[in-house]
Amino acid sequence: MVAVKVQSLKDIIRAYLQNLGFSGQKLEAAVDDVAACAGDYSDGGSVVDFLDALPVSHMRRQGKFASMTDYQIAALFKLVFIEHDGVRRWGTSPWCQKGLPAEMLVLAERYAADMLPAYQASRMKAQPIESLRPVRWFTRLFRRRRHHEAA
Amino acid sequence: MKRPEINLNPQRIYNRRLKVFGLTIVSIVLATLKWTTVIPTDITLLTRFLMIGLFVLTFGWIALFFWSSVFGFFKLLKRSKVPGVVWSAPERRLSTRTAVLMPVYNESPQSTAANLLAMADELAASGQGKAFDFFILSDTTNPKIWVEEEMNWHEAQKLMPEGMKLYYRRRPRNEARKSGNIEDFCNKWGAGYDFMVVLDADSLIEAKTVVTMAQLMEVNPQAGIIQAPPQCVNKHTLFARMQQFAGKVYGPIVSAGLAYWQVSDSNYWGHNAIIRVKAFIECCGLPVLKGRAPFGGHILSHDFVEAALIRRGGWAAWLLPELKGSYEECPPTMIDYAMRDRRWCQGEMQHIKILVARDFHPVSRLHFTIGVMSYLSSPLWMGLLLTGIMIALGRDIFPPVYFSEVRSLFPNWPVFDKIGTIMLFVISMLMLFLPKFLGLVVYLLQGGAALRKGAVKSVFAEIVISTLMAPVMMLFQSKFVLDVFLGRDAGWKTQNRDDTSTSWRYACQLHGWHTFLGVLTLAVVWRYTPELFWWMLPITLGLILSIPVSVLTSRESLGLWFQKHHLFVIPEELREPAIIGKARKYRQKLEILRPSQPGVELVVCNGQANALHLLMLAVNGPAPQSDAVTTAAAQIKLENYINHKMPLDLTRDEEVSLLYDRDVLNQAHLALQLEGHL
Repeated sequence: MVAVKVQSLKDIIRAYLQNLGFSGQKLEAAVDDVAACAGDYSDGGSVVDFLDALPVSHMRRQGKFASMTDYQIAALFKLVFIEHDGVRRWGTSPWCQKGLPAEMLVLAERYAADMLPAYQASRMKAQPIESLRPVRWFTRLFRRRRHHEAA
Repeated sequence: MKRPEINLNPQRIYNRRLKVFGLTIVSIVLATLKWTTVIPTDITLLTRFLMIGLFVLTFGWIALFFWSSVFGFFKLLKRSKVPGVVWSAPERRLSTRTAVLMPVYNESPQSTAANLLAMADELAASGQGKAFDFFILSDTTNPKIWVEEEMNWHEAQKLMPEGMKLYYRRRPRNEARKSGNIEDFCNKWGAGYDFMVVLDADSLIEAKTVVTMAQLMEVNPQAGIIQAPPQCVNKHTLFARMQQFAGKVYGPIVSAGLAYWQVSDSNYWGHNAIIRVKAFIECCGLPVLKGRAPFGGHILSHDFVEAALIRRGGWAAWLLPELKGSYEECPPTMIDYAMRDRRWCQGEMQHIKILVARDFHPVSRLHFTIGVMSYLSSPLWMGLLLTGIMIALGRDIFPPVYFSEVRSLFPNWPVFDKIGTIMLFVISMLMLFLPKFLGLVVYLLQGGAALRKGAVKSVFAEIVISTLMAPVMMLFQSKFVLDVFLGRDAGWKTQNRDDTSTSWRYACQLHGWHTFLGVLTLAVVWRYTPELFWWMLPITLGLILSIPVSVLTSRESLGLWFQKHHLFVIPEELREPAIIGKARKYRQKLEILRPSQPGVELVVCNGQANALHLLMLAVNGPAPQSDAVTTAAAQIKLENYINHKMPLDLTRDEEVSLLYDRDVLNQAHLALQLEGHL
C-alpha cells in the first residue's frame, strides 16, 4: 500500500475534490460542504471510503449497475463527474443530497452500456486433429524403438 | 446438423483442378526428363537422385504457381466471377449482426482505432452502420501501451458515429495468441453475432466491401468464410512501394488463379475476411498439439487450420478476388519482411504435422503443403545450388576418369548438354516471370491512362530489385527453417509498421554473413569453376550487394523519388481512397489527444485516466499472478515517486503489478494531490 502522510480530514477531502476538478473558491466552499455532510471520521482512509461509498450507494439504489463492483461504480462516477464538468453541473450534490442528479445517472448508464455488451456465452470445443494411421504407426515405431533402447 | 448445400457442379470443380494440376504435372515430367539429360553423367547414383529430387520439388513449386496464374489471367480477362457464389443486390438491407474485430498486440493504439473509426464512419454513411459493432480485442503486454489503449479507446468512442458501438477488452494472459484472442471473443460474445469480420492491426476495408461481405454471407448460407484479398497501401519506403506495386499488378492474377481451382475450398489468410460465427464456434476450436514447440503446442498459423476445420465441418470457404477495397500495410523494409517471415515460417512448418491429419479436405492439405513449401523451397533451392557447385568443384579436384580399370572400347566422356541447360533455364525463367507480365497486361488493359505511365518500367525495375533480393531471402528463409527444426522458438514480436529506415550498422549486423557468403562463393566459383561464373552471378551479386540493397530500399526518400519518376505507382497513390484519408485524419486527431505521460504515471497523475483504468480493470478479468518481491519493489518505487519526487523507474513486471492493484492506484492518486504534485 502507498503510505498517506497524516493530514487533517479537510485536507483529504480537499485533495479528493481537487482530483475531481474542484479548484479556487469553489473548492474551499465544497470542502466545507462535504466536510459538514461527512461528519466525524477518525482517519483519512475512512473519509475517502465515505466519499467513494456515497455516490456508489446512490447508484446501486437505481438497480442499473448490479453487475458492477463497488470499485467500478466509484470509478464510473468519477469518470462521468470529471468528463462532464461535474463541478459546475452538480457541485457537491452527490455527497450532500439524498440521490444523484438524474442527468448524471443517465450518463453513467450510457457509459456502462458502452463498456462491453452483455455476455452471450458459447463454448468452443477443441477439435480433434489426429494423425492418419500410417503416420501414427510410423511415429509409434520410433517411440517403441526408443523405449527399447532405454530398456 | 445438416449444412446448406453448396450450389456447385462437382464436375466443374474437378475439370478446373484437372487442368491446373494436369498441366503442372506434365510440366514437371517434361522438365525432369530434360533435367536428367542435363545433369552430369559422371556423378554417383545418390547425387543423381538428390539432384532430380531437388529439381522436381523446386520446379514443381514454380510450375504450380505458373499454371495457377495463367488460369487466373484468363479469368480476369473474361471478368468471370467465382462460381457457386450468389451475389446480392447492393441495396439489400442487412438483417444480421456483424462484429468487426481488431485483435491487437502492442500496436499503436491511435492507428488501430483510427482505422476502425474510418470504417465506422463509412458504414454509418452507407446507412447500414447499425448492423455492425466494433471490438478492439487487446492482447497487449506492454503496460504503457495498455494504458494508452484504454485512453485512446475512450476518446475514439466519443468520435464514433451516433448509434454505433466501439468496445475494448484486454486479456490479462494472451493464451494461444491471436487465435486464443478470437476464441475468447467467440466464447463471451460470439453468440450475439451472426458474422465477424476479422482484421489485422493495419487492416482497412471500405464500407461497401464490408456490407457486400455481410450480404454475401446472408444470401449464401453455406458460406463459412469469405476472404477479401487485401491490397498493400500507405507505405513510402522503396521496399514497401515495390511490394505495393507487385501486389497491385501481380496480386490479382495470383488471387484469381487460386480462386479458379480452389473454388469453395479456399483458404483463410487470418484477416480481411468475414466468418460465420456459428460455423466458427462449432468447428474451429483449436487443440494444443502434442509435443513441444516448434511442432507441438499452440497452433501458430491458425488461419489455414481454421479454414481447413471449417471446410471439414461442411462449410464453404471462398476467396473472392471480386471484392475490392480491402487494404493492409506491408513491412517497410526487407529486414522487417524477413522478421515477419520468421514467425510465419514457424507457423507453416508446424503444419507439416497437421497436413497428414484425418478427415481434412484434399485441397486443405494442399493449402498446408503450399504454406510449407513457400518456406521449404528456399533450402531446397539452396540445396540444388550447392549440389551443383559441389559437383563442379569435385570435377576440378578429381578430374574425370576417361578410361576406367574395366577394359572398354569407349572412353567415359562426361557429357554436358549446354543447349539443354540453356533451354531449361529459359523455361524456368519464363515460368517465374511470365505471370508478372500477364499481370501487367491485365493491369494495363483494366487500368486508366494515368496508371499506364511507368508501369512497364516499374515491372522491369521490380524484377531487377527482387532478383537481387531473392538470394538474400533464400538464405534468411533457409536459416529460419533450420531454426525451426532445431527447436528455436520465434516468440511473438510486434511487427514494425512505421516507415523507419534500416541503419547501415544494423544492415551490416544482419547481412554481414550474406555478403561474406556471396564473396566466398564468387571467389570459389571464379577460381575452380569459371564456367559457372556468369550463371551464379545473379545470386552472388544479390548476396554481395545485400547491405546497400537492404539499406537503400528501406529509405522513404528513395521511395518518394521513385514515385516522382512514375515508378511503382499504384492507383491508391494517385487517387487516395476516401477511407485511407479518413483513417489518417482520425489518427492525427487521436495523436493530439495522446497522453504525454505513459503507463502507471498517467494513471496516478491523471484523474480521468485513473477512473477509466479502475473502471476497466474488472472488465479485463483477474490479475495474473505476480511475485511478492516484484509487487513490493514496485510499491516502494511508487512511494519514492510520490514522497520524494524520484523518477518512476519501473520494470515491465513492476508496472503491470501496479496497474492491477486498484487500491494502490486509488491511494497514490490521492496522495499525489495531498503532496501537492498535481
